[in-house]
Amino acid sequence: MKLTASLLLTTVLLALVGCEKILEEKPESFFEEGNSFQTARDATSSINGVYNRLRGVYNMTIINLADVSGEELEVNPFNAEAREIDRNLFTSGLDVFDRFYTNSYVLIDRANRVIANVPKIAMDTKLRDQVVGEAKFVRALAYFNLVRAFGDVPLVTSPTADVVNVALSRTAATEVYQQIVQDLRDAEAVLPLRYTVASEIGRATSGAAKSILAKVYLTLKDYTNAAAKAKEVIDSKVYTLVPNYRDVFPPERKNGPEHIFSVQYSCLLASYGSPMAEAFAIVFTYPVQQAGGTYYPTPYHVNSYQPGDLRKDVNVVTQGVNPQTGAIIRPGADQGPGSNKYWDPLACGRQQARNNFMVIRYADVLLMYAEALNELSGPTADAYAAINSIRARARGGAAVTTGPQDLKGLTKEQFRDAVLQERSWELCFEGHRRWDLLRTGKYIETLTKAGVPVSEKNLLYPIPQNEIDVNPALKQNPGY
Amino acid sequence: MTFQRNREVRNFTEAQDFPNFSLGAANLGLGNRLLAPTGSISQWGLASYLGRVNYRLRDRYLFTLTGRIDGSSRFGANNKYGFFPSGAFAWRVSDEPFLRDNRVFSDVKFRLSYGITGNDGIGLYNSLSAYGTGRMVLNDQEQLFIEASRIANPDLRWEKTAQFDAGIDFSVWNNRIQFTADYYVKTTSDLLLSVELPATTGFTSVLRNVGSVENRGFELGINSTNINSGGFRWTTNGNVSFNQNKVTKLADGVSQFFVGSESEVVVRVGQPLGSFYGVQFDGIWQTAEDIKAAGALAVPGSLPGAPRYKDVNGDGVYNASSDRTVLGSGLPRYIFGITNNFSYKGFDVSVFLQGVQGNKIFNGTFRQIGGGDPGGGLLQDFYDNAWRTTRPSNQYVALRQWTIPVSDYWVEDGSFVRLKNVSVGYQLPIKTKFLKRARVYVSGQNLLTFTKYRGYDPEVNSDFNSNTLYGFDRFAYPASRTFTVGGNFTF
Repeated sequence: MKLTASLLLTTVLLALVGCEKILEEKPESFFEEGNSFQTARDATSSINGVYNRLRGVYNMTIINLADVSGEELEVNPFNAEAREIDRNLFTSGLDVFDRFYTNSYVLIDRANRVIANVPKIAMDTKLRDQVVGEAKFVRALAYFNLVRAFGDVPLVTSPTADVVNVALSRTAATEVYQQIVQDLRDAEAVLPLRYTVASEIGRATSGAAKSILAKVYLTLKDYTNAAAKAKEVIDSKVYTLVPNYRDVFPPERKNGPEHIFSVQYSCLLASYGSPMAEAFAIVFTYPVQQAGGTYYPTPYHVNSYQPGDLRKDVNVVTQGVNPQTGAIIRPGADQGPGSNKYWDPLACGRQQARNNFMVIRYADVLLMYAEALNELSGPTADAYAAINSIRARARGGAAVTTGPQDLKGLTKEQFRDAVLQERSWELCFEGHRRWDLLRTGKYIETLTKAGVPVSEKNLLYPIPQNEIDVNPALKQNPGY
Repeated sequence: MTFQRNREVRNFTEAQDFPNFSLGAANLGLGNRLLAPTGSISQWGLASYLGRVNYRLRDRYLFTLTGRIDGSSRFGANNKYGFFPSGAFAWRVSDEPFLRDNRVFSDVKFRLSYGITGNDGIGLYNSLSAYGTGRMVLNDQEQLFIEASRIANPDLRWEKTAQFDAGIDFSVWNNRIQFTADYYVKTTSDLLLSVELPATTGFTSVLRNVGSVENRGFELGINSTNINSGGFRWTTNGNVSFNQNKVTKLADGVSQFFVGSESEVVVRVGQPLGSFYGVQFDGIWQTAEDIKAAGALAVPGSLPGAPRYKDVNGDGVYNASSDRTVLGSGLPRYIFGITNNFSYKGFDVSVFLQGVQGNKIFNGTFRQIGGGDPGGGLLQDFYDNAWRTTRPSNQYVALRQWTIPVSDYWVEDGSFVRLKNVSVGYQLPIKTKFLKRARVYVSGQNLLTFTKYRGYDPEVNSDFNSNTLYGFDRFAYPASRTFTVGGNFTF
């Protein structure tokens, strides 16, 4: 009897121990937070994930938010979503706001995870610091876009662990900007000047951090620091203007001497491709001739070019060539002109082409430098030199007598306007226009001049309604 | 005590573009295109400790007590176990001395029960974080990336349902008519739901224990032998259940949250679980003057023929987000079923009628093909009866590319009564040495449906694996009408 009882007890105890084990969940075919950051390979793989997230923020999303919203670009009415932005008809329910906001914050969380976890990895400290710097650079970029689009936005700088207390209110824009500046300063200190290994080209460099920092300072009207950062980029001698404007854009020339930071696309697989080529094409030819894109340079922009400006032939095209048949295609009755800025004759799928999306390039830095110097002390010799180098290329070389000539003898106000106009000719459809007009206080004036209905509330975009629905702590921007 | 463990190992390899197929698939390496192999291991366990006591007093007072502790691997580390007791009492009144000699009541029984049950019907590993890998490009070079794909929720625990039930069964005239009636209150707490997260968390949703839902209602059933004489027999079985569903509490003082890619459903305290949520359609703008006069009450850019919506909050401005309201629920007020059986000599007939009343359906099918977009597919009715300057109406919007938000333009009454099954059989009067029994029959399913619903089938639930998205018709395949002719032969 005693033996039976103790045997029974042993069995029960064994069963209890065994059952504790069968209730344990131990993933065997996916990683967890705890085992995702162990090696140097994990560090680079995790920052790759952050770069990959940029695809959801840039390309057509930023073109809709920053270019369609300006006076340079309009869309076919069939593109209903972009049309609402073009005509300022949107409400907070428009999906592009939600996509942009959500993708930006997912990216920020992934960057936060890199910043929090990679320093714990035992690995080469230089590479480790670089990876953290890259994450800070991308995080700053995301916040810079958010704060320019929405104003005050929630500031999250560490990985979310709590799924209960998730209602965050909006942080004052000034505080968000402080974080952006801090991140970019940290990044510029640890990022390399350039990458030489083929598989590393495309990562953030110190030049990229300085260039974005210059733009942040410019936006904050801190012209001393803006000019200083732009000058550091110029003096680094890493970047040059390519001699011909049209050579800035072909996909074969991506990551070239003028490209400071780009979102990377490829046709290695169709899913790695970018959608801009089709959006701006008069005739898109994958796999057979398709209808063209729905994004058209406005007549207002088309007519703004001076005769002899070589950029016009790249930025605005009124006929396309089918690369398979050689046939000349003109836009249909309901189509506008296209643009060759993102032309790719060897696309690999619908909305899938080889073009990178240029986040910032050297011409932008030169124009920022001119803008900052002018605001500091009027059009100085250096300011003229910067803008005139852009204009010289635009007319085909310093000695050419047609096209945009060197500027001289302008007042401060005239120079300011000249830079803003030059940015339009040089950087149109690259995701800058709205921010340029907002920064210079010319958004409403310019759109009104171009005949686009616009009001005070349009200076900020509405916080996406889906986000307010799930986070009642968010207050909507005025007017929406 | 019971233990259960399940382990599943999967490996998947695929190759395409073989020179020919004469060898089968034994060597996938023969294919020209080899796809990336994938694999997974998943495992779950369940441990239960059970106990049960039955007690019978004088054969007419019956007591049952049960208790169980269940442990499930699916929950967070500190919340694996749940305790689920229950108790029941039954009183067989007809066995009491005062009723024993009664000629009317053949059986009378009262029942009372209360019990708690647990639900762990969720996916595996949901309390843990997950990181996934993928490939991306830098400078035309393919690279591996790793990225968080699920946020951990270590607090995940059992969903519990406490059910109180009071019922009576009785039959009269020697069991010729049997009644059963139940009143129940079912309270589900720690409801397991996938909840949308603000994007600032870096994730779009998480599985959480979010609140409580109450179901209360009546169930009535009757079995009756109406006629049984002269070889003719007619019996009727019927049942009807009334149910009221209400969200009683949400976690963390949240008063509502939204479900669905367009927030088309709201889960709100005081409302049924999963109510359609959107703006209210209020006819069609007839003239440009009307639109101009309405000012901010019209969607900017409206043209004659455009939909108009109600200014629900009455602030004088129509706003597609702040003028949303509850548009009804996909849950029915009551459902019923009636079966009549007739038999006479060798013939037998059975008729089954089914009904669902008081529910709404979100007609997502019409939303796709009835939106008025002349560029997409459009139903004939929406084309023929669309608003035109020559034929103004308030029924269907004009043929244009309107963006019609989630609204009651698409919400319809989903009530229906359906002749679910009719069958007629005949027992052949044959009896030989070999054939002992022979019956032939013909039956039809889904023969007639009485409904105002304009979609294909009111008996629809496209998101059948969601317990908040209820009553959506998204191109659901309708139930088919089936006729069967057959015979049963016993040798």
